[in-house]
Amino acid sequence: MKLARFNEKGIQEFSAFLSALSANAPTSNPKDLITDSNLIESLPTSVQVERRTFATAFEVAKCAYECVAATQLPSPERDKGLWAWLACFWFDDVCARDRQGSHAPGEQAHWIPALDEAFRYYRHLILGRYLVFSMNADRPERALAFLCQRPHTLGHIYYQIAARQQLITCKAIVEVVTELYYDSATRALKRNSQTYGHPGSVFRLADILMQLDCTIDLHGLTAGELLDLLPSEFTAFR
Amino acid sequence: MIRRLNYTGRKRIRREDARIALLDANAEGSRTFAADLSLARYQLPPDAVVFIEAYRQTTWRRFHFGRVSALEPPTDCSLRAFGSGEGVRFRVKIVEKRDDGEATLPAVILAGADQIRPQQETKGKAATESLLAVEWGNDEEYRHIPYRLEFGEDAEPLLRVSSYQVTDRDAFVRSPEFICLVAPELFRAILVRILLVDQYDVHEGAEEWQMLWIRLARELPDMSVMPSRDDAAALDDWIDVAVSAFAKRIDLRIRFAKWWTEEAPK
Repeated sequence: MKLARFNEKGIQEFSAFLSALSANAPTSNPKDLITDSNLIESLPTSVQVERRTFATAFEVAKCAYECVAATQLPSPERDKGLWAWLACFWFDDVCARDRQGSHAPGEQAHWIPALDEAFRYYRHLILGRYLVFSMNADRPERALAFLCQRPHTLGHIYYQIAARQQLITCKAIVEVVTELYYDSATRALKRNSQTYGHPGSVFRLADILMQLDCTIDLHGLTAGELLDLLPSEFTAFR
Repeated sequence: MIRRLNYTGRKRIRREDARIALLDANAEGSRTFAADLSLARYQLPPDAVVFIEAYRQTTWRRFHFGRVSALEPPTDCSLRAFGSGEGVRFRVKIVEKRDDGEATLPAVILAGADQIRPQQETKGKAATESLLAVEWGNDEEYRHIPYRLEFGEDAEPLLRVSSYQVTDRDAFVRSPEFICLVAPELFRAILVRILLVDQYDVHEGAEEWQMLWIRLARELPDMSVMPSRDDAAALDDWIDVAVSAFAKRIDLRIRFAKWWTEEAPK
């Protein structure tokens, strides 16, 4: 299908769909929304996008990155209608399910990006991952700790670091997080890495990084130099 | 108000000493910026390195502006990674690299300024958007209060809306209850903060957040000349008049009457 963007009415309809779905009273089908000519706008460059079965957020990010790069849009990350449309297009592939197998979409910011909200924009299930991926496009594996989970799971590592602009934009920090918490053998996050109160968990890491950020130029460090600055409680994860 | 204590020894660069302007698109169509830095008053080491960082969401670029003793803008200040430049903010960092003779130590931040809004955008914003930024309040205290006006150190006011109690932030601040009962007092609180608490020294040409609010008040209908900052009583009266003029500007009497007679729970 040709990649498109929702217009204002399309975003409203998608929002109404999500609200109805959350209230267990779905009124429309996302497949109808993405093709309704009254709700969408075409992009200047024609780009094909396909339905996929995504095992991880990394696959979502990579796929979105390739599609969006092909559009040659100057500021795709500010294009609310584009991300809402893409989220609607991949809705079945990305949305969580409850025990009965029904869609459990969660908050609207997962589907319609809250672009001007510093503490919510990154929660979009497609845009958020795209941003992490594109920032590390030179070596996406650096960000595996943020992208190794299932498409609908954001997780504490993501919330603790991606919510803080000064941390997520620092490649050394992204690399350290992956080095500490991602297990390349199991391709999953290490045990207790997201356990609140556990020594060396990502909650502690975020606190310590925010403290260091007050006095040290974190963006000027390499991952190795940053690891050397961390206290001994992180040794268990190294 | 949250009082922030600074134990880092890091100096705070005042907004008037770090002015940044967005410039029109260059030959390749991307925006650029120019910075006007005045660092003399901070007594920084002459060899300390000056960086300006542009950021928006996860897009971040660092520009090397030379050293304190010899500021030198880079030849390329292009913001091509930011497209139109909409929503870009800037951070100034003065950093000192150290070594203990054997190894290089992490560079320390000696001084900085954050969340700098570029001037050209500020002008546009004053004309088209609210001056008051609104964010979610996620801290524990917001379980008990629906909103709070925050003044950070040297930062523009920020309205935080409880994420525990409010599901639609925009609807909350647009609601008739909020506009009628809260908005005028927010306006008053901000002017009181600028003029009476901080005793802000008016800089006519400045694009600091304080000046934007003062301009907004001055340009309201029937406003008299603003008294000098030494006359607190007269300033207090002037703020009362400004709040009243603000209410008139937004047709508060009509809005309130409509809400009170038709919508308010009796």
